Amino acid sequence: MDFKEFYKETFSQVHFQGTVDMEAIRHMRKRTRYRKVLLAAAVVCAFAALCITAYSQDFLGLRSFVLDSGHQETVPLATEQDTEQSIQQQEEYISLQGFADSPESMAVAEWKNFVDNYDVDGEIIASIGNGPIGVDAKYSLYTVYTQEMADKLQEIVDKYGLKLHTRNEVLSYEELAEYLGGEFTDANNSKYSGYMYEDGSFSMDGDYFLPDGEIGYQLCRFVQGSFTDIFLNIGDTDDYCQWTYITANGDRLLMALGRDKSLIISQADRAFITINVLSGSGNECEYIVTREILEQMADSVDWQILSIVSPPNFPELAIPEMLGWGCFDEVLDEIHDKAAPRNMPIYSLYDVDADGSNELIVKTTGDDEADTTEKFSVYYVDSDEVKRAEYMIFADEASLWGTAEGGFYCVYQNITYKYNLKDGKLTSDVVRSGNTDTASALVIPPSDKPFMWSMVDDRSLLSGDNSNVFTDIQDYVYFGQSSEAQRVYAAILYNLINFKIMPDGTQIGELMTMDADMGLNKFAVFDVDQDGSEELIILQLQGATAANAGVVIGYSQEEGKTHQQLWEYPMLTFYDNGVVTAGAGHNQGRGGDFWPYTLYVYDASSDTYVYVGSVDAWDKKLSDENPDVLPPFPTELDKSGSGFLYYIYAEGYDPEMLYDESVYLDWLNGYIGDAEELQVPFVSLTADNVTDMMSAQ
Amino acid sequence: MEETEFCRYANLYKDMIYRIALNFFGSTHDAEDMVQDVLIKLYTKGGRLNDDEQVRYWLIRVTLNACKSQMRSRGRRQQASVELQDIAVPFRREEEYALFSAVMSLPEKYRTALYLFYYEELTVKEISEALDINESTVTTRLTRARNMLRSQLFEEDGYGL
Repeated sequence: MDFKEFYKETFSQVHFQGTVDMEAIRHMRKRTRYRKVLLAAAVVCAFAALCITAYSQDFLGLRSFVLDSGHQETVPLATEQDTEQSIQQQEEYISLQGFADSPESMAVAEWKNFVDNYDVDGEIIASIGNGPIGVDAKYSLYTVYTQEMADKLQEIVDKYGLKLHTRNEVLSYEELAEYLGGEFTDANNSKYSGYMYEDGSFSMDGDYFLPDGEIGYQLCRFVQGSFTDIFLNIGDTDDYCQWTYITANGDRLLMALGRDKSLIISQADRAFITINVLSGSGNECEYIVTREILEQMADSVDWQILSIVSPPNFPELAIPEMLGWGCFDEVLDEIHDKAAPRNMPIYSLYDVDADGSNELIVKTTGDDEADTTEKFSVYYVDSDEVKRAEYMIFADEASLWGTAEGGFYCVYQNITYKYNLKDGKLTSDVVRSGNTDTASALVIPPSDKPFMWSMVDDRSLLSGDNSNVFTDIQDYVYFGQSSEAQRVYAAILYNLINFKIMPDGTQIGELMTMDADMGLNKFAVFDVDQDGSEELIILQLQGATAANAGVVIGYSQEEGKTHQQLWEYPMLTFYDNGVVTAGAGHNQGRGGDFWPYTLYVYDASSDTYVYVGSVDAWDKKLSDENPDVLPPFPTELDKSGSGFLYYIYAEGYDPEMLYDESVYLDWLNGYIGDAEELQVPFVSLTADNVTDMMSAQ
Repeated sequence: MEETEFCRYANLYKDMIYRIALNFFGSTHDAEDMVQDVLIKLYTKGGRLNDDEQVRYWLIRVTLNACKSQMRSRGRRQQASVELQDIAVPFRREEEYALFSAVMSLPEKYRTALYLFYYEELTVKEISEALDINESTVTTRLTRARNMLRSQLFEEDGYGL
């Protein structure tokens, strides 16, 4: 049974135990029908009768904001099959930038009219797919996906003397407040993030908290002089109860209470500020808004702060100087925090491996998800082409990446970017913009310093298997100035940690189990054989004892490949003359307090450890304490009186004989002599420790 | 929708609505309420849905939207907490209870993605549309959910997880 079957079998036992209240359902249907008919017949009259329409001369009411986009639209409100009457609802749109006759609103109206009649069947956008559109990046903050649309947009902004937005930053509430000059909502409001344009226009979602619930809203300010292709469907303006409200601070506001939404609009010197309240006075609203509540909401906003418009002093869109070596998480977080554009990929070009071509280093930075090594990837760039384009997959909450056509793609907040290497620099091209809630086009700076190079991908997400195993050393992980051997060792370790791939390219089997916590194992890079070059020593300590292992791996620079020097049980003791002893996995004989082991010596010609012999022993104490199980200890052979006799499995010794301790020590000292035990700096097998090991060079 | 047609769909999909809501809220009470709410939407729905599959997909979307709306009305800071003792399901095998407990201990976003993928067999694209999130987000959630379940449950036999 696979997991899916297991899951389905389990959840198929979860059933709805309640009862469906048909009476309540029938009742709701009657209410719904009644409400629709009532609305169709008398909604204008009802609202008119209830409202005192008393907005002042400077506010001519919502109708003065309604866009003239060539036609007014009606949409079916009810499509009940048993309702003979076709009920239609008016759809009217307002600009959030001012009165209908302002240049901004007229531009939006013209743009809306164009967009409504352009590519109606979606054929053009379907034919483009994810391919490049070749439109100038300056239109990236607008819904533009053909040159024709770009030309039209440009024609409109030129006609009305407006500027295009050039930048859009996602900001926390605190950052918004800093740019605006102070907190602009009181404690009854949420402090969610929003986004701001280069001219001080901004928008944010919020909640207004009341003792018995909350009301969602959108607060936005749009500055005059820029083109913003945002408009709001407000239904029928006649459905709104409207009045002018003067706040306690003397701010004059247009209030509009509708059936399912409400509006608060303020006119500043150079901007219009709108709160689009996502509830109204209708019974179907999650929270029924009253006139008093809408006025409370208005009083919870500091309109004075919002009325002062000044362009935000955004940090420059550039990657800062690279910070040097270090654990990539910390280094990149630091870079990100300091100056990189928020939520944008960080990348660098550098010939890290000195092979004459640049490598592309990318880190995605989506929200809180860019916190693990899984968010890093590397592509090798050769001349004008990104090599290994088949390596794909960045798992990231915010971004999806792909490679094709010699470049790679980044989809971020509905904008697809394509990157290419030209003249040694990355250039980006907006492939297609999705909506206006986007980040601005990337600025691609050259970089002359590497800061990290790591490669982790998650091919299993795409392919469902591990068929694209990395076996070439060049595919492995490298870090800056570390030696070639160190780089190779890091690659081996990363492959072990991330892909469970052995140094020879095969899948882990014997050494470690697939689901093992790799951090329970240990590794070291140390010159254990004392030949002047460092070896990689991996100790597998988790899992079944019988499967535990210690591996010594050497690297031949001449041959450019690794080889196994030793594979033993991981109870290793290294000596500074090239001798290593490996304790046995079990002590099930008569050894007692003596632990059997095998001894190897280093052979420089083969750069491997050569087997010398093994030793076991008979502990007299064991026989004395277990007379019913063990034969008596042959005391007559224990000339030294040590209480131990030894089995020496080595050349020149009889494996059937028991030797006195003096004989054993003569044999042992023949190999170890005055040698001293090496203190090998083993650490847990984790990606961070690998990084630390490499960056410490 | 005619009442006979409605009753047929209600019987066919009430468990599905309940399971989606249960995964979303982690509470039987909320999930049961949601069944009623969503069925009202189905009964009062205008227009036609052509076949069972269209109704199923429509109900999935409506249920998810209603769950999100309900959660939003409670306040974004409130997290759905799962109280397993309130969810009495007589599972046939111990392993099934273990899986159910493990799934319900995951954060909501993982539970919902898992259910839509493994039980309703929606594609990643369909899930992304239903939840209004990127496809990459869906795959990330599924991967993480699998990893979390694997670490909790399957040290030995992973059911291919």
